[in-house]
Amino acid sequence: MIDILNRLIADWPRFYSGLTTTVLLAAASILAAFLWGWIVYFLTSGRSPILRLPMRGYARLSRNTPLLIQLYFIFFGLPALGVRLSPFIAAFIALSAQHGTFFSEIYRSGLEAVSKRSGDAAKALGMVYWHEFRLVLLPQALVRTMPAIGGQSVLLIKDTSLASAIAVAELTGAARFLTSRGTSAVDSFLAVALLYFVLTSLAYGVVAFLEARWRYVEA
Amino acid sequence: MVVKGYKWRHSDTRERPMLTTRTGAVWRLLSVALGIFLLASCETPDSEPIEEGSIYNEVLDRGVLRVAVTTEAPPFGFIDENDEHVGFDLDIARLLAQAIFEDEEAVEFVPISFEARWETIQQGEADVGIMATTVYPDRVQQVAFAYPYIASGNAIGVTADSDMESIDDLNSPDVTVANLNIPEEEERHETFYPEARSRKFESPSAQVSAVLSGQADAFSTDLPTVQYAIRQNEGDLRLLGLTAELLNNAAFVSPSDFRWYNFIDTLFWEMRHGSLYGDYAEIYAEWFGEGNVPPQQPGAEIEVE
Repeated sequence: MIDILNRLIADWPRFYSGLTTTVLLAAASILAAFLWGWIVYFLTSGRSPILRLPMRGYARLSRNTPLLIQLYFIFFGLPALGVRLSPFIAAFIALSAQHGTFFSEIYRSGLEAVSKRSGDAAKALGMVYWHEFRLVLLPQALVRTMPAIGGQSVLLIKDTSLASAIAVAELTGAARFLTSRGTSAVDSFLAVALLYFVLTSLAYGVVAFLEARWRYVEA
Repeated sequence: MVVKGYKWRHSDTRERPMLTTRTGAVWRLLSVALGIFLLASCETPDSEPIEEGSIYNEVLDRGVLRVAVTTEAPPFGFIDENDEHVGFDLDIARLLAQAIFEDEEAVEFVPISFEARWETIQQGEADVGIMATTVYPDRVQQVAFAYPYIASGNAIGVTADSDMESIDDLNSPDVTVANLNIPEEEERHETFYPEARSRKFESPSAQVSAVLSGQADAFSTDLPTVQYAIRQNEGDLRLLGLTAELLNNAAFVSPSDFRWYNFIDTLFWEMRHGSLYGDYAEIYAEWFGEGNVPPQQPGAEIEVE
């Protein structure tokens, strides 16, 4: 324990710099994935096959291929098509795009779990689809899917550790840097694991808080 | 219905207990604290050898030399187009096995990542590490380095059609340099081209990909790696110049076993300057070209082609 705390204190500037990048990357990607998930959900559930079929193909491809391959494709492959992105932006796009497709499935399961009686009641009150969705279906679906959204967000936070493969100086990259200097790998990576644990616990805490608050409103 | 610490709530589809009281929050905080305690109480492995007696005796009794190698640093250790693990370091390990057992196949390769190299040796999971490792003073605190088996100055590679003519041309905010994610590269960047943008990659292969894909204008790594990348991508890459005096790559062993260290150190000296030089030179020529083979005499100058 003393070794790990000493390591954190001795190399704090390096850990802090990595932690800042990880928090920024994770926060931006969670927000974007949350929104992208809705877009993917609507496009894959729409009536028009012109949009629905390609989007389903994209969602399936994105979910079923490793994130690392997608990172490499976006960073090393897109320049061949004239698109050159910075490492941070490439990682942000890869994380948001893949996790967004997982979010879309969470939304789908949440909306399908809402009782049909709610929709019928909304229609009986004369609500148009958008009002029915926004005021009746969405709040219930969000409450039900909050634990899954929290779990997916934590997965995304952990996946940011892959971004150092394309030169994003995040937390895992900081540990690798210290290890190559001669620092014990066990100390460095346990220190990083501790920071990830605090980060993911905070994320779970936020989700638990929202869940409790919204469930109270629902009740 | 209210149970101590729990509150039953109702929805249209299910009923379940909810942790919504202060007791629930306290339990959650306690579980996080327990997780932190468990992580923080993980013991760092002892850097002393795991068994008494010399590794020298263990290796001779076992009849096989276990060598930690890399798979991510061509030409030292990498997976080739036939999906086989090959490289200069692996051939050097075979030469070592030949010298010890008179059998170049009496070697077991332990492929590991660069982050795991010190612990792998300290914990006795391999007898010796031969994996494109440059000798730096801070690394000597972790392991004992044998006599260097290859000189590896730091070099810069650029695309063949690059306008740059010297290292000085890198020092511009418009230039992006793909560095390795190690302190020495950071230092070199600050010394030679502080104005340039730095991108830190985890392996030489990623550095080369960054330059070939246009994500970086130059890459900085060991000279043999740059030379090999140029040979592999003939016509696409060229050498811009050297940024560091000649450095040394060496095999490393446990720092607590002098007999084993002395044995390995002597064999590497023999490879470079003595009875094993002929075989060593043959391996060197195969990977880096006939003209780049270092001379047998100690202290002789090495010319960079």
